Amino acid sequence: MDTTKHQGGIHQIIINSKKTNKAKTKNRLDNMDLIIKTITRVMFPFIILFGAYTALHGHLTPGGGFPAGATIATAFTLLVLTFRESEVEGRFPEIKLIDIKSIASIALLAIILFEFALRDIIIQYQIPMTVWSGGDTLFANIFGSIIVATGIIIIIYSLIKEEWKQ
Amino acid sequence: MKLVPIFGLIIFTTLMLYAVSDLPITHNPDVKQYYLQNALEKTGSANAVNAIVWDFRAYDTLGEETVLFAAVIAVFLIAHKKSEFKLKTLKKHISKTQSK
Amino acid sequence: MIETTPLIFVLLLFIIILAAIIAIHKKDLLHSVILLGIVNTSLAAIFFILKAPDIAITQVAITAALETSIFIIAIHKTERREEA
Repeated sequence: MDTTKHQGGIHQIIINSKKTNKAKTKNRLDNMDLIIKTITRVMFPFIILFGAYTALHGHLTPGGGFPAGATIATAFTLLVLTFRESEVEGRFPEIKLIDIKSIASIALLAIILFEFALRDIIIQYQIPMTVWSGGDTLFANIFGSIIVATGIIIIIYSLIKEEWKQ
Repeated sequence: MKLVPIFGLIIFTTLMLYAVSDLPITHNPDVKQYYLQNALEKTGSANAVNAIVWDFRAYDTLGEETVLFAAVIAVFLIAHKKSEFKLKTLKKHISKTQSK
Repeated sequence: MIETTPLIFVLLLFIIILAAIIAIHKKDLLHSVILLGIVNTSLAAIFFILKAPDIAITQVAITAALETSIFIIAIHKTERREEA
């Protein structure tokens, strides 16, 4: 099998404007552009930081579990789209991601089912209008963001992985 | 041939507008007042939207997460049907977790 | 309502309609996907003007980023050009 064939990845279509061009550009496009790689490396921690801020401050400022998880998943999507298979493979073991997602789901289920009892107990030990407040919505935000982030990462990574294997 | 979808669209819109005009007003203004006044006191979160989503209406959100879980499992199973994901890796993973 | 709506609001609505119409008529599907990204980002700005910042964050993260990448993956799997 030709090794240069699947090294190009998803970005080939951005420059391959025509089908007939594919044979010509196959050997040129071994790598994504250096600018895109560098900017992805620089932006990645900041997007993760914003997602964590949206999750942890969800009970004080606009945001919450779902936007936070989606933001974290966007960072990983950038990573998967820009880097090649050899640079990314092994970093996302999907079975482990499903394990994390299941554990977070069980935690969220426990929180929401025993909310009526937990709420009044936790609030007594919390300081209002700080990060350590919000009763169990704080924990629900954290676990909800983990569930959404891992779910979207699994979806996108399994779509991309099949693309790499061809 | 283009007349058929246009005709269908007109009929559909008129029926929908007729249905919307007959909808009863069910929203309760007391509920809105209750949520806005008691969100900080009862749940401790200053963001009223978050208090409603994760505390007052938490069961709805739980159902939402269940739907997402089902979708993720479906995509995982379909995407790995033909590729190199085999039963071997799954069995290895299970035996690893059991031995721990 | 009309006197309180800023000019940017109306401009964003026009941008949305224009980009959507162009996206339908483009034969190159990648251009259509980029135009859809413009539509979704403008929609997020409209949500922000209407004082719904959490919806705006969700709109940007889901439709402008993830939906675009999923469409690009789908185009990569099939064909880029629509048959005329």
